[in-house]
Amino acid sequence: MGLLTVIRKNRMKEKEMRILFLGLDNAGKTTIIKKLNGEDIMTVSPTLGFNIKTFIHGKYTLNIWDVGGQRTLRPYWRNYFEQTDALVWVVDSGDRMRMEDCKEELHSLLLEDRLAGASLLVFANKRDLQGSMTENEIRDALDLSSIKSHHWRIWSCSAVTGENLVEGLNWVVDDVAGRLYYSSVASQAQPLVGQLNPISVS
Amino acid sequence: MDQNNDSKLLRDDPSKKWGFADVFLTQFQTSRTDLETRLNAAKETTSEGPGTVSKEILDNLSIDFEKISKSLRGAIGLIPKSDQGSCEAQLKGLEKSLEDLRKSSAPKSKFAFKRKPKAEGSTTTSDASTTVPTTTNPPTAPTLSQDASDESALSSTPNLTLSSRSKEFLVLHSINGLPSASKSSTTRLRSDLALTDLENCVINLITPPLEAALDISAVQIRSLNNCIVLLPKINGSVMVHAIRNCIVLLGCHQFRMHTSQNVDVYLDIRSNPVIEHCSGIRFASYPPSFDTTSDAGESSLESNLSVQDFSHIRSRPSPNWSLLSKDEVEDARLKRVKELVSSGDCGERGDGHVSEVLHSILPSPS
Repeated sequence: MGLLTVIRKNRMKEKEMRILFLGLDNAGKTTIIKKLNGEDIMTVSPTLGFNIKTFIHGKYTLNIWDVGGQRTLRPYWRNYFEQTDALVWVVDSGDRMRMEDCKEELHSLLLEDRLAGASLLVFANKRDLQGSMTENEIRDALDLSSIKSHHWRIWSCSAVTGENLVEGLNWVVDDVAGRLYYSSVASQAQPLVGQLNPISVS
Repeated sequence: MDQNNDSKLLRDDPSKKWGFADVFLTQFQTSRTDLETRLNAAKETTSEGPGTVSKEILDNLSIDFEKISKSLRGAIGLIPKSDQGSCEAQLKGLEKSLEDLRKSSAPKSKFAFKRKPKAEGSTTTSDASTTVPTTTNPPTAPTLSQDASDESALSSTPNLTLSSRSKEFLVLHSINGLPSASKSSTTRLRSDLALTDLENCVINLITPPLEAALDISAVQIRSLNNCIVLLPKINGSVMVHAIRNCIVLLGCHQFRMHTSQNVDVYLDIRSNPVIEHCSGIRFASYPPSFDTTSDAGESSLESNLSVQDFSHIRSRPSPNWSLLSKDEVEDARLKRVKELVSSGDCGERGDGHVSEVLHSILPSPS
């Protein structure tokens, strides 16, 4: 308990969060991050390896890791799990044919010990496309309701229009903050955070 | 076109290497100065007030910037190190002013990070508490006021698909789920097109040009055998999975191809195409003769196509892809593709003819 307090205090000083963006190739991970950061999204290339972005969001510094989703790169995802506070899983809402693949990859990630405490934000990207799957369809296709081990939430969004990106990020940052920096947010949000707690794995 | 052959030749002949460098550097400086002038002009407009530079101008500037930096990437190793360094520095400067311009011309971006007011913070948190796994209704849905009228259509329309056909000529009107023309008058619909399970087919979506109201911005191509696919230049990404012995012609922002064999890809692209678990893939630039859009001819500049093979991450060139050589045989073949496509428009020939002609044109296992 004593050690835990020390660790918590230490992290509180920096107020940093490490957020890992994963998902199948062509989901739009890099585009979402660029859009969030106000960069040009016209020239995004498929990610060979990974990108790191650091930006300030509210009172937190977010270290965002964006790892390429090509099948060949997926075995390397595990190299980025350490100390991840939140996992952002990006889904291409138009890609009906790979939903099964997408579900399997996600559920196998959730079994990882090193991601055990992380909050899970599912971005159902490309909602601006006519005929893309709805938030509910994706929730079912990915079997999100069966996830009991992580706090999760799905937001349908569009990296092209920017819709719901900030909202989703707000949720995940608040969720992580509630866990890591409990005492500092407790004054504003204590009762609510209290309600979130019961899902912890025992 | 010529430049492509030239640079290939020069690569093989070291004595001519710096000759290429001279040509390249002159070209590079011309396009750089041009872009710089346009950037400065745009900058002057912004000083008159925010938001005066249109998004279109900005986008054009960044496209051109990307072209220049791509040409530089392609020339690495062919120009002296010192020149390369100074070119890179100049590009950095350009990138910076482009970024500044973007910032100053955009009305305060609503995606910028700022501390959110307390009140909003507390509502978000309460949302979070209600969406812990047990709930089914996300609080986000009702807030989409601008989409509200479309909402029902959005959830019920299937995406555009062409699937399970054999030995057919397929055109725009063969597509399932095509929105009715009446709806198209005001809004351009951004759609996602899927081509799946097609065999011995010719898919022609370039002539006649797509109706203005239909904006295909994502394409999925899956399980095609012996097909010719002709698509216009689209504003998004293309995913190709498991196709064999095909010709694919398209323009897009991002191109990815998985587990495919013996495909000729004619591509207009500004990022690097990606292949993974593929073999026998040949690339060439989008032939101007097929280009039905107004900016025809521009694509011919894109000669330094660099393909990333994720199954072969080494410095040696990948054995899984090559560039299609530009010669008479190739010209003749493209001509035959064009003939075949236009004959399909009239619908005069029989099915047997189609597969016969296809077999003589399409790439096959070597």
